[in-house]
Amino acid sequence: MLVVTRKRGEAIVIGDGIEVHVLRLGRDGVRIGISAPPHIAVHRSEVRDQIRKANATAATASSTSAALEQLRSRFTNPGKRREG
Amino acid sequence: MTPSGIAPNGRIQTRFGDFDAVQTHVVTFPEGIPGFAECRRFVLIQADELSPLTCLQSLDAPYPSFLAADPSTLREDYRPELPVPDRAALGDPAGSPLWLVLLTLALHEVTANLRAPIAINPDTMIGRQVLLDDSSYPVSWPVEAR
Repeated sequence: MLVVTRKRGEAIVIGDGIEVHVLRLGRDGVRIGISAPPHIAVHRSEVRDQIRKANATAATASSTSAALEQLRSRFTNPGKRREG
Repeated sequence: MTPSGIAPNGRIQTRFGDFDAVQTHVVTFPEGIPGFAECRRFVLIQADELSPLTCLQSLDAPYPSFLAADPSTLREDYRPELPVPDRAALGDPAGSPLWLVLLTLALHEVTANLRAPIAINPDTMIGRQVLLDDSSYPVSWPVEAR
């Protein structure tokens, strides 16, 4: 991993068009600003990790045929729909 | 024979049963999906035995099987917006993409991942799992309590 020291107001450049700016330094956190080309998706890593975990669970969670039938019947009888 | 995939008789094996390959469409996920980066090809199975649900079965190892739903059948107020980077990755679909949400059938609860829906460009059959910025959409939204 590349490690660099930056002061407030300084930035680093990644590849062609990605810039990471140090905006503010606090006691417990650093506020950073990221500018990237429109085709580059930027996410907090914990959100991505959460989705990874959710996908792993969705791909392996127990799925009895009875549970599947019950779920299908719920969709065809939407009377019991819960409000979100 | 792979643990899941297309059998010699043309049947596709999934965690939710075997289905005729004729009933299916192949969707390409150029970047896989989070946690399954190597899974580039999925078959979209819309069979009578599953209707109105859909099965997304990977043709690439480790061959995960997902159960998915049209989100409009779950929540009428769910209106995911396709972020610009994802729109570009899908090849700039002319209209709205096809949205699906992944379901988790746990022992006592079924949940839907509203935070990271699957978007498919119906013209190119390119798909992508979209991470929405809107944190009001839960990763595990309870579809029903059993």
